[in-house]
Amino acid sequence: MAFLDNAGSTRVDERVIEAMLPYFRESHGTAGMELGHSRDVAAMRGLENARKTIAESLNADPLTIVFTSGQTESNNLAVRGAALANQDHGKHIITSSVEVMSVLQTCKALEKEGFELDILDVDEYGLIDVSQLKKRIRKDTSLVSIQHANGEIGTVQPIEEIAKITSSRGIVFHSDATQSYMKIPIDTQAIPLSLLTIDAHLIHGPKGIGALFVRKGTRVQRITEGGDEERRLRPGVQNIPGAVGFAKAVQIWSKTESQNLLSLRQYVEKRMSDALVDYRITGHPVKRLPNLFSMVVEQIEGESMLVQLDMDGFAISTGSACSSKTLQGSHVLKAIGLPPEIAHGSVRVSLSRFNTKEEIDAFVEALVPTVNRLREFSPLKRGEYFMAESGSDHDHEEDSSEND
Amino acid sequence: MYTDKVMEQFKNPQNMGRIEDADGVGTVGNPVCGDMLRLFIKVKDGRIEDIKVETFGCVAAIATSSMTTQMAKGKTIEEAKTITRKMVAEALDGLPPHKMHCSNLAAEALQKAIEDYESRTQGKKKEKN
Repeated sequence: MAFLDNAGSTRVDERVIEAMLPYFRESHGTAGMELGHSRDVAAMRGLENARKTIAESLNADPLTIVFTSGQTESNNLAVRGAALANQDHGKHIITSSVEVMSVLQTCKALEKEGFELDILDVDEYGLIDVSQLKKRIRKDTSLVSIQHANGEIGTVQPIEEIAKITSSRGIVFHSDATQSYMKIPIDTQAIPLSLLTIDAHLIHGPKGIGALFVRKGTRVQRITEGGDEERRLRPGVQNIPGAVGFAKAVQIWSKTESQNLLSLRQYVEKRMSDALVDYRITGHPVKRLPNLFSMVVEQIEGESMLVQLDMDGFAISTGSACSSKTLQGSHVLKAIGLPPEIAHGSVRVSLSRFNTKEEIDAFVEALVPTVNRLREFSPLKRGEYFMAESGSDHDHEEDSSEND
Repeated sequence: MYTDKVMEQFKNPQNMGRIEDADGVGTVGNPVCGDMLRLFIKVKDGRIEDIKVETFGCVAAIATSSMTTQMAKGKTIEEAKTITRKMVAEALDGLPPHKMHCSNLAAEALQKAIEDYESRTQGKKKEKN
């Protein structure tokens, strides 16, 4: 079995699990606003050491790190919290069409509440045009939120350039770095961004823990009510075992890890180009995550590939409509302009430290016959993207009252 | 998520492909939703002598295509007209709710192929008269 869906989630490293266990068993206090018993003190130490480790990984001060339950909460806190806190500057927000739902939906909710929203288009590689961003900036632009790297197609945005623009205009700049954290170095001293979302579960840490970097001086309002934890930005008893695990995952990330991932990804690219025909790589060819290979395979559909590969022992992911419970295709593939019948053939292979060349070889050996079999009985032949006579809209109702 | 019967059909779908000189062809589908089917029938003495289907779609689409052709093969045209999506789904021991529309697609393609066959033969009758 080869797990090739590491942009979806990762296996928790054994060393991370070991590091967390004491915080379930012995040091199980809260980090406490009041000086408490020794269990609390131990827990607090664990939490604060974790905070320090994570801060160092971003070349930041520990005071800038706010622990949350993960990417979604960090994005909500960043976007809503900054939008509300900076209203005196203005109520115009700029974001991109390839952001994750927790950014896009928060922006759209704010729009309903009276904010103005500009969603930047991306090019066929998924890159935003920085000059377009500049043009859209107004006097009342208070917040820009652009992800560091995209989890579906791997494209990395020029956040250094964006941060220069926003900081010179006093605009809050938030970037969701969930997919890029640790894989691409981020130095918050060098890049003047205001807010950064990170999460543990894509770097072999546990689920349910993430953080928001909040640069000193950035105005952010809390979005949930409660006590005074996390500098009053995020009330609630922290997920201390989670935070400890998060920090351990950061600590064990090796210096050569990103390079190893890149080499392996390049191996995937090479094996694919030798073995497969009629497919296109999605995302930018160079400015992309080191571990993410994404393509659309022509003439066939993603879920059928995914299920066959799963039966053969390989876990990948697809952005096809039929693979989602809501039958919505990937908004990212739409944003890069892929026609739906091509977007349905999307396959994402995302690597981790546990993957090997042998696994990639085995994967390609399973993929090729799968693709060939499905292509054999597809109505779409090479170069065809529509059916010659396109049929009618068929009924999507699961329960039809007519003459069944 | 899928029943054993669906998975069996997916692993070994029957009657997949095309018939070049078909007596009736039914095309259904929509690139936006992600399923496309083309179903071919060959009719002899009022019976579906041969039937094939080409499918672009998910596991449910492939399984329902295959099952529909098996249910229709060898039946008379009148019998085949009674095949509904519910029957196809039942023959597969059910489909997840959000996949039921795939079974609709396959049954619809069959009915369209029959309609095509009938309009062609009626056309021929008109020519003769």
